Amino acid sequence: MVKYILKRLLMLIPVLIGVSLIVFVLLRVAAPDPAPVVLGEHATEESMEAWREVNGLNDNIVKQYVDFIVNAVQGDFGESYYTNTSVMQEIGARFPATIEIAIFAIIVASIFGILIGVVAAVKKNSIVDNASMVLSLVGVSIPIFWLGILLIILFTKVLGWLPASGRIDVTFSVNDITGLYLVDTLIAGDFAAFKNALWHLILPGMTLALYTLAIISRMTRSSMLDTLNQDYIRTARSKGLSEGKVIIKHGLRNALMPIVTVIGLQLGSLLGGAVLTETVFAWPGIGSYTVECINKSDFPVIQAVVLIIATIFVFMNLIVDIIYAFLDPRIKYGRKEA
Amino acid sequence: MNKKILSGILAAILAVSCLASCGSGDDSDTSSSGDSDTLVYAQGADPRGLDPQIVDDGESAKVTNQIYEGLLQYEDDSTEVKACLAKDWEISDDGLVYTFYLQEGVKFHDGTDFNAEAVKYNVERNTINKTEDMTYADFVWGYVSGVEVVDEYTVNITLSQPSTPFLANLAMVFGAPMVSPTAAEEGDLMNEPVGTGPYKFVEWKKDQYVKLEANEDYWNEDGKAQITNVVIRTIEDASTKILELQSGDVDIIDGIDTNQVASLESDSNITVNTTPGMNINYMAYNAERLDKETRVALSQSVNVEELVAGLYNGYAEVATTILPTFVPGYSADETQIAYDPDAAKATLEEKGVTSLHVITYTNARPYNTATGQTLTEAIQGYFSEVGVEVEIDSYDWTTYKDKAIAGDYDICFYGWSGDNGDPDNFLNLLSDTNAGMNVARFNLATNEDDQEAYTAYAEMISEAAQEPSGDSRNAMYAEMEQYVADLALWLPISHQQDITACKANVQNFQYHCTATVKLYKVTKS
Repeated sequence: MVKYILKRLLMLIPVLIGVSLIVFVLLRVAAPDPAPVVLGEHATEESMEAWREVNGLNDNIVKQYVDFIVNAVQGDFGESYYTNTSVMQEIGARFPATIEIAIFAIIVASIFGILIGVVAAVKKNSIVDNASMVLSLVGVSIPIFWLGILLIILFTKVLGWLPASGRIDVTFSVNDITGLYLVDTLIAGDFAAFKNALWHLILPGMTLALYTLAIISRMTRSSMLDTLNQDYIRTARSKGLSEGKVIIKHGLRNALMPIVTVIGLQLGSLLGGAVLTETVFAWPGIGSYTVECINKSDFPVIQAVVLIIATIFVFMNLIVDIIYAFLDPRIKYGRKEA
Repeated sequence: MNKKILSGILAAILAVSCLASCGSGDDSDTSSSGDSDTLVYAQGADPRGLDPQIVDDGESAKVTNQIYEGLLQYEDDSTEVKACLAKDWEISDDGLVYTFYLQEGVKFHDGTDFNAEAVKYNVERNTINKTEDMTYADFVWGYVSGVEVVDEYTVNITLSQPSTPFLANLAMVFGAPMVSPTAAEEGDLMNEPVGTGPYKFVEWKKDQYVKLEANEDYWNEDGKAQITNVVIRTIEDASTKILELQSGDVDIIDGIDTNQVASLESDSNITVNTTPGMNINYMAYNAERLDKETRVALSQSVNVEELVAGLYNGYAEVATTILPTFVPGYSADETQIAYDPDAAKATLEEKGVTSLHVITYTNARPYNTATGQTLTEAIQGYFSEVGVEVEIDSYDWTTYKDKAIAGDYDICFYGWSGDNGDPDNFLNLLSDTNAGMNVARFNLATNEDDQEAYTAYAEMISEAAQEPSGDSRNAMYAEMEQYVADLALWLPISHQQDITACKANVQNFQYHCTATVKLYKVTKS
């Protein structure tokens, strides 16, 4: 297993080189010139040329790429063109917010998605099944910005239960240790701040979870339906096992493989940022920041974010594959077949 | 085991639901905006940075304007300049040497003394030591040839040529504010600003908020902050920003869409303010491709009054001149090309003009909240009525700027937000040799008459910039306004108003015509 994991991690190198090369070339060939954006309305051709020179944009593209890779290997992704601040500092200021909401959303989506999917499969063609599938359809098709605003109107303006936007009320001051406010407030022992951060997480988290929940529940339903028709389920029932045990132990466990795959990929995608949810709820994550940087041709930030997201996807796939081995004892990695 | 997991999951769900449902009371307790000693201001984007000598965006300025001060400042309701860190100043007879007498006993927030050496440091940071990314250094300090410390509180700044806008430039929020020399050398001003202003920097959480606190040691008793804490939040979505104001978590918001004003005005807890904007929204003809007769005919085909009334819901004024009404040099006597579609049609038929290539931007701009795309499509309708078909290429703003510089268009849409309230800042756009500024490409005109007109206009601009301010100078700009109006290089469309809203308990909030705010006077009841 260790050998297999190491092999997969080594595969990360060609993946990252490939991804970085594509992004690097695309930005320089297709993206608008960053100089007028960075230097503003009063930029002259001379000042823009001087700026491009200082930032290496006049160099040969091969040299630019090699410089980028050499620095990136040392953890230096340069400075944002637009803010003159280290790219890692800029990303570090936003990525924890994305991690926090992604984990919250994936937990909510997995719990409810699997629950709804299992119930729908067991009660196939019942009202519960139809209702859950309508919910799934709504979940994948409802526009996030519209749903978000509706939730804010209901839970903030009408009911007054939850805050509309942000990560925490501005009266609190959170000392960034991990950047995850729920964790940092607990470490600091500030339960009022913890509660406030949790309240702020609920609306954007639920909004973000809805789409993933819909996908997971649909996947769970179809996978469970497949499994429940297998002979070993009939055998289990004929052995006299309770229905609950049949569904959970023999049904769900065997149906989990595709569900785990979906959850893994969805988590990878959530960690890449959720532009609309972040925008509606003023959630300071990596998604809307990346879009903003794309609009401003902030090459160093875009390059770094793409590499980080690619790495996340490779890791998520690896984790999913490792979980397979635990779910299905027949799967062994790193051993030659007999 | 499975039962245990399942019950654990259910318990967690119940716990979250319970927490959510009983959360109503607490948030109002911790609501920042309910506290009369904390003012929460929401804007639509995060600041680019907090070094006023580097940044160029309005969002940064709303923060830095509380922290930093320049030698001069604008009057509250105009762009007339008055004393600030310089208590007085003199200009030599030849207009080349400016002597500034500085306020005494002023300290930067880090304890560094503000004196003539600090001024010298700041001027040199923007001139001989400037870096490529100091976006306003040349605009503010471009004519400075030297700076000399006369004594601890007196400094001479020498220009290479007389420049009347220089004083107005010194009150600007970009380029002109004085930064702490110590912090500039040893710190990170983009992220930890240090000025002399009524508020001190506390914390910046990117894409969330910037927190400021009152500067207890502020040098000017009359300018001391009335509210102890100011939080400037970033809320990108316009609807969310309004909902936050209505729910009471935010005190003041800006950048309000004209479509949302009516719903805000119907709320008795909210006050909506409109401020005349120091901007111009215009359509530019490419003088490299279109001659004067064609330009005039195209301008005749557009009913600007009807257009502005239809697009901006009453929150933009029809532009009868390039200069906004409150900028010196404005004259109500200027006349633009009158709407006359029959004459337009006849001329365009005669000239054989049947199709045009137009480029535009897809987003809203401070001078055009309706978006470039909407404006262009509206004008496409007018052109169609006079027999001219329009091919529109639309781009996001960043790409659009590249396209505008490249110049492959017959017509483009642009606008300008004034920097310093000086008429030169608007009218020199047509004499500029930079393609990104002079999108009418007047300096590159192919027609001989236009070329002569450009040479004459550039001379007029240069003379007026050196003329001391006053009636004579204002008359020069009025004359230039008519000169370019007759040439029909632009079709001036509108001056967009700035719309802000605040809770009814907020007093003394004023949005300045330079699209900036000073919050030290604001109080909450």
